[in-house]
Amino acid sequence: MVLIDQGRCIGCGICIPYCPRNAIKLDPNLKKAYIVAEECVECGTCARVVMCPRDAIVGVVEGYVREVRAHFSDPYTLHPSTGIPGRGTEEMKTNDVTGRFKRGEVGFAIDIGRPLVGVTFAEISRFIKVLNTVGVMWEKANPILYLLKGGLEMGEFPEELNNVKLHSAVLEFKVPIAKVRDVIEKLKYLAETTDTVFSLGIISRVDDDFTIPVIEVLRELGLEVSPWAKTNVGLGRPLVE
Amino acid sequence: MTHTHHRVGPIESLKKDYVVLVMASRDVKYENEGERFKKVMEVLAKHMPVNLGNMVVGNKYWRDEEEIMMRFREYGNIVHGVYIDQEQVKQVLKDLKAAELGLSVVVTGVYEDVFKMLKELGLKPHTVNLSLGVWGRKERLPPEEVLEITTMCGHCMVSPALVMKLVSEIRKGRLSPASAAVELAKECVCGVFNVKRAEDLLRRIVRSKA
Repeated sequence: MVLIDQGRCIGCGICIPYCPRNAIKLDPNLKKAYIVAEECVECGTCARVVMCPRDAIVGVVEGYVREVRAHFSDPYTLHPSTGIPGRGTEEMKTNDVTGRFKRGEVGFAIDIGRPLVGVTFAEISRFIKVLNTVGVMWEKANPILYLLKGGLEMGEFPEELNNVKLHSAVLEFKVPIAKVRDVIEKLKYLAETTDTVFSLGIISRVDDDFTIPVIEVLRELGLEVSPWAKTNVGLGRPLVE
Repeated sequence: MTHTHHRVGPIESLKKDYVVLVMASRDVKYENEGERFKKVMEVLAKHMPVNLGNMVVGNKYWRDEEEIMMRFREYGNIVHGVYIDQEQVKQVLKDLKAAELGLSVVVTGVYEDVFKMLKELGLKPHTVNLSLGVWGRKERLPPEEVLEITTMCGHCMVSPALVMKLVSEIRKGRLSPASAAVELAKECVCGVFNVKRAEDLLRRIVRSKA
């Protein structure tokens, strides 16, 4: 894990506000900064950005659990299952050439723990089990699913990961548009019962007249759609119509 | 990976914030992918981005800009440019369309404005990822004015504590809002953080807390 070398640290505290998880503390007796291991998600921000006057921040990741945290928290760590950096997959960003999401299908990207609250593997497991009851089509390349033991139906992670905290994790799946209501009902239940937060993205093909079919369904469900969105502009080749 | 998504704030502020992402799918083996991305970076840099990033190297406030422009993987590259004006984005898209590089291009921003630009350029939106915001224990989130800044890094690398520390430094006259925004941008390694919008938001917080 990222460590603060106690021999070098002079306790100036310059590093403390840089941690997005507030995991760097100052020991008032020793007058040294230290990192709370349970809260550190190995995002690497402190090691990258802080101009420590003594170069006391040492970026060393050791052990399976710390490596897993780094894969999901440090944008510069390539995930072994996807070969791309980050928590999720290419999702709709390359849909113009992959055709991952077809007309009549709706994708969901549920970023659990985001923004800034974090999530444990046990909670991710609960989300998977609840969503399994709807019969969703999971994105098999998603790195979080790569860690499951016993398959998607079980939705269980290895015991040693259950209490491990991540900065966030993205669950990705798709359903036919007729099933959107069922998924939203489950998400409302999860929102009411979770101890964390999640940011919700809804993926849809755009019709030739520039309308987005899923918006009408979402509005009927009383959901507010942000004006902010990601648009794949269709410049990829060979194009999937 | 949804790192350019879920930004928050009033519509007037969001309208000054556009991320252009260019990505090579790993399902398509592009010949001379690195050369194609060098061309992309030329286009992104030409139209005066407020931030520029390359997922191999980092962002322009943390790493050398020449390296960002030139160093790529053999396959699976991702780069970003951030803009504050619709006309800049339109020119970027016009140049990328003319270059016929075959790479996937995603524009994140107020989507009705993006659709309007596409129509003017003779392009069609292929797929969208809409934001339905944050669900669950929202009482655990930082204040809204801090989130407007920190959500500009979708990997949530920008620390709320650093935002407040820098606000304090600005109020004491030790730092300008522009310098503070650059300091925050260093945390967002991918380079999708809108430095100019952050500067404006920091000014607003400083005024409101004064």
